[in-house]
Amino acid sequence: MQVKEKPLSLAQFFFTIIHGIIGVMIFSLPYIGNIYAKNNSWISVIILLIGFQLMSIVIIALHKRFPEKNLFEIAEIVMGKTIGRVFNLILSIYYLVMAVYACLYFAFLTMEWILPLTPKPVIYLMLLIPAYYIATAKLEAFGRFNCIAIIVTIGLIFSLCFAIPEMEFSFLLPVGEVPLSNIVKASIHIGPVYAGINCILIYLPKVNGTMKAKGKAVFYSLFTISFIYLLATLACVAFLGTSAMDIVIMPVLYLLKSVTILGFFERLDLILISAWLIPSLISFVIYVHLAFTGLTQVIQKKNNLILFALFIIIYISCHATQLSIYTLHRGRDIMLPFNSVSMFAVTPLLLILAVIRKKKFSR
Amino acid sequence: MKLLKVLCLCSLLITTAGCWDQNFLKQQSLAFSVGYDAAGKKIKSMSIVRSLKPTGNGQTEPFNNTYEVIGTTPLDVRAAMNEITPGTYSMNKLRVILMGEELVKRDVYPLFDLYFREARSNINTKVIITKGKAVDFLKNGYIQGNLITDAINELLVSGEKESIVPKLTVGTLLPIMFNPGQDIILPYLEENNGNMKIKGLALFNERKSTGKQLLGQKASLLLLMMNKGGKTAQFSLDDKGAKNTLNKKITIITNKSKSKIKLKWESGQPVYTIDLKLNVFISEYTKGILNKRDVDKLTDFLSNSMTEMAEDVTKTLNESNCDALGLGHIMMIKNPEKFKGYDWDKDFKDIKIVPKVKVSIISNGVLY
Amino acid sequence: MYFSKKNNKQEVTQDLTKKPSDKIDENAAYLTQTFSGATDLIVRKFSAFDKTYCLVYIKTICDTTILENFIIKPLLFKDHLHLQDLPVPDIKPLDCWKDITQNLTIGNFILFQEGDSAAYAANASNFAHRSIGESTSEQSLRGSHEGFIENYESNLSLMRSYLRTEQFIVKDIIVGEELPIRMGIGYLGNKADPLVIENVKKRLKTLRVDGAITGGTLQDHLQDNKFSPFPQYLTTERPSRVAEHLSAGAVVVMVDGSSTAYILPTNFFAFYHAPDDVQSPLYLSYFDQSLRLLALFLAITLPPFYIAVVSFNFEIIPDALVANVKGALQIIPFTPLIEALIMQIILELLKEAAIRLPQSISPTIGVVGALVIGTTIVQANLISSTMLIVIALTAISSFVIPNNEMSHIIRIFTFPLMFLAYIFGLMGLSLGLTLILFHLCTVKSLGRPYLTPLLPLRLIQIVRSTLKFKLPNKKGG
Repeated sequence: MQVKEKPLSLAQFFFTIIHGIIGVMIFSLPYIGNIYAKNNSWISVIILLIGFQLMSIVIIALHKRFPEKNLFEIAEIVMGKTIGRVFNLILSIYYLVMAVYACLYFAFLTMEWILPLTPKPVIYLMLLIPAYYIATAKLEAFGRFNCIAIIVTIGLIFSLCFAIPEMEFSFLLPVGEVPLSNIVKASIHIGPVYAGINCILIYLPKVNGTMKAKGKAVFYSLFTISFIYLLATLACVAFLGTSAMDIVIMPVLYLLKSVTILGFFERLDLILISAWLIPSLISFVIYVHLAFTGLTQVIQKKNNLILFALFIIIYISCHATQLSIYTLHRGRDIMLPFNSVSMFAVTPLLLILAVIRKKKFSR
Repeated sequence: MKLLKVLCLCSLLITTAGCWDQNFLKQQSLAFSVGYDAAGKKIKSMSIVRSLKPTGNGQTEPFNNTYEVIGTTPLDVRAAMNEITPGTYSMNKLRVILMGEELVKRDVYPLFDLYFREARSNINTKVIITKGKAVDFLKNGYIQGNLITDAINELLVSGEKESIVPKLTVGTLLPIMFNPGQDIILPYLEENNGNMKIKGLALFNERKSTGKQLLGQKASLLLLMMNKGGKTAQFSLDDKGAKNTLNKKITIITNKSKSKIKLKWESGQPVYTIDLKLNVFISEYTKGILNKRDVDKLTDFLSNSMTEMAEDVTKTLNESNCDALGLGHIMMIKNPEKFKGYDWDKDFKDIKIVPKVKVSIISNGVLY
Repeated sequence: MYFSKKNNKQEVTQDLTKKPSDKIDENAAYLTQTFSGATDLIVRKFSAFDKTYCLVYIKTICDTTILENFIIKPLLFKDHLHLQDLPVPDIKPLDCWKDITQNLTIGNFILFQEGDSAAYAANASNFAHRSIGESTSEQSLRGSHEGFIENYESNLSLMRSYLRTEQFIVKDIIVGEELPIRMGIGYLGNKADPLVIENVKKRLKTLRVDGAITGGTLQDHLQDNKFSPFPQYLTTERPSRVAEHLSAGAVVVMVDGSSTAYILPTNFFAFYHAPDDVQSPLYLSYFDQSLRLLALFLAITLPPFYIAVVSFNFEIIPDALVANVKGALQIIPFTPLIEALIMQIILELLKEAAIRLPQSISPTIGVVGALVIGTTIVQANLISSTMLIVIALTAISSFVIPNNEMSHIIRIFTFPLMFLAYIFGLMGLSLGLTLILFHLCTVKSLGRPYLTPLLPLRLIQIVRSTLKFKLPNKKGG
């Protein structure tokens, strides 16, 4: 058994990116878009689609300059040791906070829809224990697991299609009534759904494939993710209309509740939320991976105890916050500037600095 | 090692605390239908609970129990029901909600808030409005020996297929309720000497019942104009020029229909034209042989009769101020600024609607 | 093993690496003493033409007709016959006591000549063994009906009849100090990966056992991941199966004294191939395999799903069924978990009983099972009829799986999943399934991922593995 240097294959990489970015927050995505952009929230998703395709080009360009280095190593090289370390530390703490947020969101979802009386520590553990098992395993096992887990996401899209007879596509229509500033505002507020995008640069050095194939994988996976978000938004707006979406917080789940497949399968939302444990688990693990890689880069020591300590910190922080829809929304609003910076500013900044300082990975 | 043992033991403690969310099926009282009526300021409610009687050999036979309570809101009613039914009263598998005519003359939304808000509630329930009191419907628990919920359910399903009632559930009611440019319509049933009858559609305005209904064929025509018909729709038309009374009626069955609603502005006033194309089978025609010339004449006659019926329908809609067709929604899409100038709930009765029905005959059946 | 006393080893005085002496009496006495006077060790001295010979053999495992006709007779009647020229297929000289005793125990005979310190050994083995018949645990409708038996030579000869190529190589390894067991590693030289072969050889050589190896002790040693419940080697008793896997590049380990052959490396989906698959047309075998995978899914998830639905979210049950299920459950005093556990335990008991029953009484168990368990327990209102259906379906699904170990593991998996479903509902079921799925992703069999050919996706391998015996003869006709 040789230890492979490049454990991930292209297909595994493709599905890992998809799962890293689609996490728990897809369920309230249309609601948030609706607050600002009303009927035209789907246009804000299209804006994000275009924005992230451009971002993928930036990511690929950055990777081409440093083919063997991951995000944190690039930051150290490009910004110099001390600033780079500070930058990595801030980024790791940011991802730790995102992991806590993902855990809280998952707990909120579970508590509201399936298990209202189970005490919160137990629900946190329900996410954290499998996450620890997955996080300490090898990367190739993780990649294979992601390939299996795509079935759940496909199941979600498949079930959305059964509500088409009851959808009224004219709800989407008055294009241009909402001012462009509102649409862009909605885009910015929806943005945090893509928060895991920096995971691409962590996994790219470990993928086995030509540069062109890797570039294609990144491009198409971001496109698929945006497409899935677009489908969800379109379905919800067409089904509910804007006035109803003002009060329904999780329109995707509401839609699934009223779907009956073949006159036999009902209440798909229950089955889907239980199955959604898997994608939320994966995106949580990816956030923890990001934080862990950053911290090891800063401390220059790799130890599994650090991972364990991270999990304990996450568990304790989850307990420290009061779980309600208001705290979640407030947390989201507070995190918004950090999210936007980390998604849109980190990679272009590194690329610009690399070009300016003429840093390139020379063999 | 010792720490590991302690941790393992502590982890087992979690499970000994109990399974918090368990909700055993055998402890539930399954309510299959619930009826709400006005009783002064309160709501009188009757609920049908399905129980099973064991008949030996592990077999069971279903039968219905009825319970009646009074409460202020649906949640209050549910709590009161819980006090008198054995086991936990659960509405998670509710199939039909019946509302009395008097009750829906007030705002209907508070009656549904419970179903929209609770995560565990069922939103696949059908809703009907009853003529008179809903309690009278459910009183016996059985209709001609059939369990009442099954009977109502199947009646509604066949009504949906025949385009007499729309395919409506609590879940699909929410978007229409909240849409400022559209009003809800609900099926209207009547109970007569132990028999149920679908009469038509009850019209609503501003979520309150207008007291007006569209009965019989007109309800079907309205559904076809909304493009929400079922598989077929049947119309019997009067031919006044016929000599024999039995020859007076021509019955047609619609196969496919397509309706297009267009908005035009004439001197600052909106004019809606509804173009309805019907492909029909002639299923009853007693006046003799139909050759080509007769078929053309018949087509014209049918188109004219149906257009008259459609004008009747739109007149009723205007009078009751019920915008079932979603005309306000169409204006919101095409000319949103002009829509803001209207108080649509009140101004709808002055809006001009011009329906045009075009019938084309596909087949005459197997007789010539 | 509880009755063995820790004896001091008694041959300290005799150094087994010593050479035999010239005198046959000494040699014979030495041997008798080594075998502690075993009654089936025969020492036959005879002389002919002025030479004295001593023939030593264990009579219960030697074919005496060979000894009579080809050893004793020629020596008695022909003069100047050198021992190397005896009419036996192979005869070799040995010069140390260890080899001599080992040869005696494997059925060879030893011939001493007075004045010669070399001992000659040749094969005359005739171990008692059963005849070749169909393996009882892996039966098929069509295809070969031969199964391995406990005799190593017969197994090898069966294998050779399926793989008539010079590329089929079998290397013997003797493992174990006190009780030497002969094991063989077989592979096709042009197909198997040399690294895999080396790996297997290394693992077998490091096997340290006391006591008899019957193959069961091999298991831990052959696995990469000892704590995984999934077996990482495939056991089979059919030579046709071994031939199939060897042609795909695997390695087989055969143990003398055991009729089970171990194939490594293997993957998850190999456990769901039945012997009949190769004989049927392509689409039929695809259909059968999908059926088996469906059975796997049902066997694991059906009881926990039912428990979760009935205890937590009964809203999933369709409208028409809810009242019936409730009616079935109404009068049962137990919670669904206890019902399920009772039924599973009864089923396991029935299964164990059926294995150990003699043939004459086994129809009774069928009657007892059907009547008592099926009908009466429902009439007595101890178990609901829906639970009975669920458990019966689960049992049938788990028996569909062709491999015995895998089917056992699957049945065991239901228990923790049932507990999880009882505590957390559907979420618990999904949690358990996640853990199992992820574990499957981490398991490796000799360095190959367990879930090939699904992930990493090797479409060609999937197609090849089912088309293998269907490709038309390329060399025209």
